[in-house]
Amino acid sequence: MRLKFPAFIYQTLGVTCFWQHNAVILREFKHFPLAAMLAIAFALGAAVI
Amino acid sequence: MRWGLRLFEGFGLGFLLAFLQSLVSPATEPFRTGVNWFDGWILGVNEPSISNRLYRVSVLILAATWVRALFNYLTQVYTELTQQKLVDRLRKRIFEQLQAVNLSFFSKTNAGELINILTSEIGRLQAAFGLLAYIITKGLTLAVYLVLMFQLSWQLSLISVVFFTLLAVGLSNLNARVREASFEVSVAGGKFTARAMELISGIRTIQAFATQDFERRRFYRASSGVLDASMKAVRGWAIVRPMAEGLATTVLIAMIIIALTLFVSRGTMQIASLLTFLFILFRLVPAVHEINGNRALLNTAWGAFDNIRELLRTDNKPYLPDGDIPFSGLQRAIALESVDFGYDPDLPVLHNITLTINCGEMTALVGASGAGKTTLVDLIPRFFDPTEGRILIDGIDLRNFQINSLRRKLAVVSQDTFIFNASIRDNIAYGTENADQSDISEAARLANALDFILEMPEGFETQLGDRGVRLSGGQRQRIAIARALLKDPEILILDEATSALDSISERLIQESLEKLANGRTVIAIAHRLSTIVRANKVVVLEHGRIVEQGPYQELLEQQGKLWNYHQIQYELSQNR
Repeated sequence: MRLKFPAFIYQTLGVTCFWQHNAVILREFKHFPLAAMLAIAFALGAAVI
Repeated sequence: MRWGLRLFEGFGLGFLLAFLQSLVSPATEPFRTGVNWFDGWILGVNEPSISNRLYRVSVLILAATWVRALFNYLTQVYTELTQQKLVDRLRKRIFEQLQAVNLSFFSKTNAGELINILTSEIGRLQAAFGLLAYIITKGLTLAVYLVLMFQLSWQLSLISVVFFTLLAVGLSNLNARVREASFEVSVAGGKFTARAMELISGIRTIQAFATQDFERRRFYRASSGVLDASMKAVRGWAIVRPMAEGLATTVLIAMIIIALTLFVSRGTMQIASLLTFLFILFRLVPAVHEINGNRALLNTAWGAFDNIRELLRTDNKPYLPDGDIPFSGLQRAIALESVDFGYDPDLPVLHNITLTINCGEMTALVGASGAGKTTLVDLIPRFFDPTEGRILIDGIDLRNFQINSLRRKLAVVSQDTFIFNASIRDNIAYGTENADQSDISEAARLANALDFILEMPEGFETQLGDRGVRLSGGQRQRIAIARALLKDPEILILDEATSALDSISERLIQESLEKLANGRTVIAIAHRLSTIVRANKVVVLEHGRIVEQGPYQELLEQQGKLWNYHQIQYELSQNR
């Protein structure tokens, strides 16, 4: 499953040095967005509780 | 405060505040969130008994703890899944990159460094993403803590933020040093892997030349290089955490003193709120330590990021553009027109090569070592493209054909045959899908390989080990010929296929090569002229130029270059 994120997400990420240097690696995350988003969602859940 | 608890309605830290208030100031009005059903049913604010309210909130704290534990578990599972998927994709992308680049890339790149990237550096990157995920998770927790802290006391929160920002800025200098040291770890790792590979693959040469001491010194130096670079990085990141801890604890003590003297003593802050604030701060400080420590550790993986990114870059690597026309077979001839080629554009290896290789005929290339024979035949399967001139197949530029369709119709048998660490059957069937046992056996028989295969303990199922260590040079060649026979190529390239063999092996292989060549277009590089007597055309190369070409007998009669080679070989055979 591939996911297209809204442009502002790319723009926001694009200004970070980490993204600029490693976009070629980081773009791979869009090939498995569900696992990545669930990881973040559960992390957020654990943080809020 | 109410807004904050509505945002994180009923969750852990809010329960804690209710709990502390019931415990510290039981006489005061019970804590309310403002959501009636929640306050009534969950927090039990209408409950007259203080102890009942305490039990109720205790149960809620416990429930929140267990739910958080479950969420932490799921976070870990999905983070690991994401990391593994990332590494899997990167490994596959590197594989595709290595498959796509021109062979000249490999002549300029150290194999050990590539293996280091594909194994160690990928592992470091995976660990780095683990750390990154941890930093994000803790960062989210910190964000939630900060919101709650601002709800409790924005003044104290601002003071905390200022102190901790100063701390983070101070530590970022240390982190930069760690990042620089990480590049040295990557370089040293690459050198060490290259040295280890050379040691293993060249062990026979090392022992034969008795250079163990020399190799020991080089190996020890490479190993010490990794140790030194790693320790430099370790010394960098190891100092970050204790420094952060010491400074953060100092800040924490300062915060307590400020809160007590400025807010609690003046009655602008309840003791329950201060306790909750400090509780959050006590949880926040280790989280900040961990984030700083992991940031430093993450910086040690910066070199791995750099190496992988560099390998995946496409703008600085040579590629062969693929053509559109499927190659259906050679009908008339392969024609080289004024072809120049050099691995380095400033150092040409082939000069102005014009040559026609007719379909169904045998064309032999003769010349001294370094004359450019192998380079010339490497242009036919498009391992490289000419730097000048062009190669035509039946009048169509070679670059217009789909590379894979061209290579499927072509086989190369060279003196340096690669045997895979697999069974004999798999080695013969390599590149030929759906080959059945009878085809494989027939190919082995025609290659004069069947007898020795059947004498092996497990016949065709015998595993050949790394690079076919269980076979002699002649046996490896016959496996290669069987592989080519099974492929049934239209164009056959023989690159000094018998030069490294004894006379018995050579005779057996010459027989099988003649069977293989029958009815095909053959381009043969010949070390021994006896193997090309039947060639339709002989091409003599010197210093990358064609100096003679024509039928074998005609060239001999001219008493030119071929005749010279012929005389030298004749004299050598007479002296034996």
